Amino acid sequence: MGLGSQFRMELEHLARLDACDSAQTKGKLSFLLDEGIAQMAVNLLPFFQHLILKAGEKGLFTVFRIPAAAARGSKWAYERTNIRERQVVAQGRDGGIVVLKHYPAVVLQPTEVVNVTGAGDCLVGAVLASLVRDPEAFHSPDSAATLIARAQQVNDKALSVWQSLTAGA
Amino acid sequence: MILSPARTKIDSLAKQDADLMVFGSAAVDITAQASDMDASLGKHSTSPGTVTTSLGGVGRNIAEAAHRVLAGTSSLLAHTTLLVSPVGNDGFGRLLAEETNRLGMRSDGLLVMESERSAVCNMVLDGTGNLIGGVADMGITETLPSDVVCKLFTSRPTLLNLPALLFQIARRLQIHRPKIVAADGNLSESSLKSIVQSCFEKNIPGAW
Repeated sequence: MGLGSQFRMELEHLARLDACDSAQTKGKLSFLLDEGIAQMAVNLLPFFQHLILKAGEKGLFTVFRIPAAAARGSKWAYERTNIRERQVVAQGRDGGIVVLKHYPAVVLQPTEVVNVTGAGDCLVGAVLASLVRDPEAFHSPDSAATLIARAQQVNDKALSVWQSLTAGA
Repeated sequence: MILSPARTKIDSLAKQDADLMVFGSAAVDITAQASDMDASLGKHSTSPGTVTTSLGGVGRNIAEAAHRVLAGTSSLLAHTTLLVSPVGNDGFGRLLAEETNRLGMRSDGLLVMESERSAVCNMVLDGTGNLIGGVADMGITETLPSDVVCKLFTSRPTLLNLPALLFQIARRLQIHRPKIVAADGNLSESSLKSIVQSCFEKNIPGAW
């Protein structure tokens, strides 16, 4: 992708953050680099435009690219790396934009969680529902944030009802 | 292999778009939980308790979640999501079709495989809800034949040899190109390969 040392440095900054601001017990984001997750995701970008990684209580990590043709009209073109916003934005050599952004998990009380089975499937379903209505949802920071927030809502709802979806897989 | 549509409403749905197609597993979960809280389940004997069924399978779960979100947004989107799953010509297959309909989802993507058993996941829990064991009979998911998947996407002439159901689905795919195709990772490698390839050829975005 032609991403340089600046990009690496910014990723290292991101990795120092807590996975969740309000609950330090969820650990750091260092696993993204230590386990090679961010590196693998970036390597997959030529084949998969958007990657959404579910990390359980450590939240969601999205890695996506906006091709050069769409980059100029995208609001991501005005976005910069902002560690507090948990995002790293890099300009590819070809004019495309690469975005890595972390979304912390929504904190639920243990008593609120009744059944975890199939909750991840619910999240995927909610993401697809958003993409059907707006296939370019990831092209703008606002619509991407809305998509993820909606998916997390559905996910949390799935966790807090006894029989939302079940296993069999 | 695929001989008959279970309970499909192909004709009425034929003109409806399926913007989202989800290929994957659909299974019946049978959960047995012993009522005795402290004693572990006695071996070589049965224990009193509750036995319930519910629907599962990753592909089906994803399709149901997407359907609930979309149908909740607008009744116009109630037939937007199409689950494509193999089911057996057995009681569990009919349960899957019926329950799918009851959720307000279309079931015309359930492909009845005459010689296969519907996917069933059987779990036994102790009184406190911990999994003791179970048997998962999910082999059918692997059988979604790649040539069927291929034919769902490809063009007219070859379709004449296909059973009516496939012909209908394939024809619909031609007319109402899905905006997104999703597949669950439990499908066989060759099925996944043909889905990816077909999507690539038709320039349909895929979600894996």
